[in-house]
Amino acid sequence: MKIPDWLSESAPCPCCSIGVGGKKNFVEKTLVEIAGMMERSIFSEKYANAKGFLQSIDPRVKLVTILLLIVTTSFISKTEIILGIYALTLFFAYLSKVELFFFIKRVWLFIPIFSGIVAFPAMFNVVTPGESLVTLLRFNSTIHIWVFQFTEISITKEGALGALLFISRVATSVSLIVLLTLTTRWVDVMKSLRTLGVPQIFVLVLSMTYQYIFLLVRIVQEMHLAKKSRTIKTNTTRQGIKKEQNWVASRIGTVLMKSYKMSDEIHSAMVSRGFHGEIKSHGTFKIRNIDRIWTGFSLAFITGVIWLNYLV
Amino acid sequence: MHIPDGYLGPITWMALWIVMIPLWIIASRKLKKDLKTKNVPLLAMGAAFSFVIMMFNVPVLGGSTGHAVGGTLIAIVLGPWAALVAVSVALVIQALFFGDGGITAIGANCFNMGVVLPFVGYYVYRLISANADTSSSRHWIGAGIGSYIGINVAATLTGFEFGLQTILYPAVNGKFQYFMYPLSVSVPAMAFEHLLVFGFIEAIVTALVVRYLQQTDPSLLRLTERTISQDKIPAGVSV
Repeated sequence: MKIPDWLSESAPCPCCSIGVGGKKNFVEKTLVEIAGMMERSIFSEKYANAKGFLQSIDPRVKLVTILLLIVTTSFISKTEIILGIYALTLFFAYLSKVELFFFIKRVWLFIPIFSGIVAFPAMFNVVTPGESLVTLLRFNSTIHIWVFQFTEISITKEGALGALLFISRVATSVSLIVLLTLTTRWVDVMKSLRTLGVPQIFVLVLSMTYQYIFLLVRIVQEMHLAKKSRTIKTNTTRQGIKKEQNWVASRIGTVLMKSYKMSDEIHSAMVSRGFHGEIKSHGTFKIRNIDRIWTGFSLAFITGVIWLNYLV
Repeated sequence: MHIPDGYLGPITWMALWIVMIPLWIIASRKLKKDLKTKNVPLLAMGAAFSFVIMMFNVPVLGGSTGHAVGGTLIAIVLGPWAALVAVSVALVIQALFFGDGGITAIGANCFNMGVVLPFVGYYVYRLISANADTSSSRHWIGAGIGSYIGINVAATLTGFEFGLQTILYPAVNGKFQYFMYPLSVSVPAMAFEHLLVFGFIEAIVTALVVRYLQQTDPSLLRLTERTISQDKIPAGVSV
């Protein structure tokens, strides 16, 4: 399915103009997060249906090789090699007709930026002692804070290199998994989990969950839209916050009751269609030459990378 | 509390996968026996619910917001073993499709948020609410205290797993390999954050939802009692 341009444009909607500029309240925050989640899943399906390189590979082969690459990335301790794997993900994203800017934004926006904040203090000599690159502050005596001792504050070579290794490993792992889910339909990802030995029952629960998440998220979205359309300003006094917390809890409770009732109805629907606890899946996957070549390439690449890391 | 890939070294994440695999097998056998064919839709809806509960922003004083994990709440309604599977499924979907939490760290995340959090929360709740009438305030108080303790134990454990990396993988030529702060930093950092902020959000949400259920649909709070009393019949049979 191709999304028309006018649909994917994010024009400011007049209904949200009141919130623009000011801090978003909890109702708006939830609505924005839900919209973001929906947008991400729609875009995933868009790329999964494009005719690119990774899209043409059997989903089972793709799942296994990409997971192996993620595991390999966890073992590699040389930054250059990890950056090489990262470059490879960019190359295959390009071959798979994924817009590079979108891909990089999608990868970096969440986890790696957060990890950068985590790693930032570790660049300094206070956490990672070593050869000083830039000295920011010097003290006359040794300073003791908590478990740290230092006489100056500087960025160290070891700290900077460590932070680079840490962030590149995080970003490369995220890139690999994003590459998998962008180029594979989620139904195929789920079915492929069977090849990893994940029991059929788990795969069934996983795919049902994925479907019903969107239904429940829609319900949550409607609850918040209904509240937003009836609220001029949320109350931020102590008493007001108590009321709002009660509102959130009552909506969570309602979603819980709805999902429990729904599980009963879904069960009846399944049983009446002949479900008795066993599931047969109708796989239509077929291994072709391109899959064999990709498998050969991936295994050779992983072996090469491990050799470079441990033996050179 | 979702650990991304690259934070934990192979020894830690592999060990936690090894711990989780038998737990998943035990849980699925137990549920299949108790729930028969009903387990598939019930777990799927439980997992979908545990996914969306994290989307609710809860207002706290000062205009900021936070969200609950909900592990204890799901354990109170569906029982701890069903919560284990439901939370695990939600975490796998988050890791695969939404980039929240790592792939290698699925074992660790499921252990912290799918085992420790709901089991600790649930048994503290049971201890406080034991033999209390469904309308008794001991239920929502127990739910609040249970979820507060549950999330704090889980967070402290996560901090411990982080801090372990500097011991298991000491810096090579001064350069750290995985998570870089020692136990003396990572444990207090995770613990304080949850003792002071996220623990309260979790407790408020869990307690208020349980109170709401008491007023609107108390039967949901009695679901696990039924399965527990069924369990008593084949006493001595271990799963």
